[in-house]
Amino acid sequence: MNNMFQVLTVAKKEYTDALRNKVFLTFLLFLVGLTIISIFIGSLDFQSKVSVYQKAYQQLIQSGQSVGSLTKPEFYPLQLLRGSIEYLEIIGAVLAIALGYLSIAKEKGNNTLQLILTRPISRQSFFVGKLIGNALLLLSVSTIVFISIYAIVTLIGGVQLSTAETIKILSSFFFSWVYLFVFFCLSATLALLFRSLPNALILAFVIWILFVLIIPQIGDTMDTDNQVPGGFFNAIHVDKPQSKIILQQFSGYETARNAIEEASITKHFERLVFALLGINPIYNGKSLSFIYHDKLNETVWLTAYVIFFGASSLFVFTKKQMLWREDV
Amino acid sequence: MYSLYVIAASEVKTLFKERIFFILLGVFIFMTLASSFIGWSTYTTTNAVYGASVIFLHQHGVTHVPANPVLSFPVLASFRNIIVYMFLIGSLMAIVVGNRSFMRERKSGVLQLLFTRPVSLSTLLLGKIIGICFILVSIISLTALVSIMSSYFLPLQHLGSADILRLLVFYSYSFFYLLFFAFLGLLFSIFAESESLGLFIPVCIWVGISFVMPELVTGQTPTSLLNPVTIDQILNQGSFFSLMQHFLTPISLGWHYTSLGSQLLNSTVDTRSTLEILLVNKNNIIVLAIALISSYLLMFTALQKYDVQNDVVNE
Repeated sequence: MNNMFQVLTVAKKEYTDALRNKVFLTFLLFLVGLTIISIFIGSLDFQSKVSVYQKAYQQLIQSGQSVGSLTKPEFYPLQLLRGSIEYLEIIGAVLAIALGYLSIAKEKGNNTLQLILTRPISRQSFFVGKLIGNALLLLSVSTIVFISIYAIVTLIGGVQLSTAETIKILSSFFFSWVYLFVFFCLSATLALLFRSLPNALILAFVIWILFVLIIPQIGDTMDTDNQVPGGFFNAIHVDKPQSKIILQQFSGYETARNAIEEASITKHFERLVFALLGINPIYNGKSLSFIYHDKLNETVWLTAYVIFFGASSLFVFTKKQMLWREDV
Repeated sequence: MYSLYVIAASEVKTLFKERIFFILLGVFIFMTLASSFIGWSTYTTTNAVYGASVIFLHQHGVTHVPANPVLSFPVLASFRNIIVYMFLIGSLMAIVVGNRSFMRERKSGVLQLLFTRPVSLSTLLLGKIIGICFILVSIISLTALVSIMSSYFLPLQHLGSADILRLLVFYSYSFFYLLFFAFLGLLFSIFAESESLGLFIPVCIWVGISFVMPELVTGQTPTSLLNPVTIDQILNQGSFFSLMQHFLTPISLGWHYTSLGSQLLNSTVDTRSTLEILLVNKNNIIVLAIALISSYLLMFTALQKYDVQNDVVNE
């Protein structure tokens, strides 16, 4: 009981400390602002596509030609969230890195840990408290982002979301939280391992760039169809089903490309959330159970990542004999 | 003059002693090598896919198959991924180089000591900038060398002298682009009250320049610009975007960098000479020059306001 109280006290302190931290608040504001801008841009982009379609339609009608070749843009409200999800992947991860770093840096910088450990509190309780406090903080971040999304889409956009769509948004919200927590644990672990805190932060940024931006980009640029603007297969008049048959002969290359993408947690998160929100059109209108069944691999990867990084940070904190004086 | 040399040399020596700098440099050089290999591997596979597509279409009764679009790509197109790596890792490395330059001395108290010596602010700043320039030139020269050398080891990738010249122009432009981020790192390391803020603020600005501005200009999702093939193909025509293009395009440094880099490395079929491309994009170059001069002036002003007596750096 006493242990539980200590854990909750540490967790509460972590939470309130972060709310007073300028770095955290700046990133939170930045993330929410970009989420809103992104939905706005998405809706304007859709309006622009509709307008282009209408102009082309009118021109074809006036010139007496068939309009069969035109594809009418279809509106799926959750697809407007693509940009917001990408910002969550990029800025959300930086925010989680900032939290993980600050959570350890404040103890190292102020030499407060030595003092705390002279009190009757175990290292485990102290760090579990930190993990819980920051997990709750990241949950609040995800809640703020998703409430903003929900409010914009429903209240301002005037779109009525069905129960199934709301559940899909809630599922995406949960996985966003898991994704952010992985980056928190990564950054906290590095800050614990490195004697020099700035070096730990820089390394966390390098890992962030590699796994959030570069590895998914390598996978995309290795895609044969992405070699030509408008699509390689489109340029040589090969349709989608035909291209799949042809690419079966290059399974080694495709496997390597997929393996590169799978090395990135961001890609797993993106594949799962894009399926849930129907941003990937093949999952549009599909049931939640179908999506979870089809994306089991991504769910397992995300779970494995969070367990691995959570356990690593706990292990490092409790087992490592840390030198609490930072190198200059 | 001697003070300038001492400050610049000290800048270089101190950074070259830092392990984290070599980790960053290692990642960057590795990605440059990977860029050549990925470009080559994708090019040869796409050619093979074209061959397989022709056979497939003939088997299904299609007699006329359009020419292989990839064959019209120049050799330099295989290096186009380097634009993205320079844009991502290069910029981060430049921020770190700039940040460490000042923050290290603020923390260790060397700066306070330096202010007791007869060294003017402009000499101090210029010395640091010369040191940073030397570091960036070394990194970029090494990267260029790796790119050129790798082309000789991969089949179908041999570069002619005109290609090498164009590659060097691209790397020169990249140097100035990275210098801007080094300046940002330096600027915020002068007045940020904590080490973390000194790194987080330039990273935030970098995200704004690299992802937010291009999104507002093009209407595409933030990571769309990370595919160098489609950089120039995605301008949205809506009235809001036209307005954004009017106001934001001139200052959208990330967009200019990827766009000009893409033109120089011929991501799309381009028959213009290097000089023609530079002349067409002269406004982009002027904007980058203005950004560099402005950030220099801001650094100088920040240094003038720097309170050496009461400086405390938090975590």
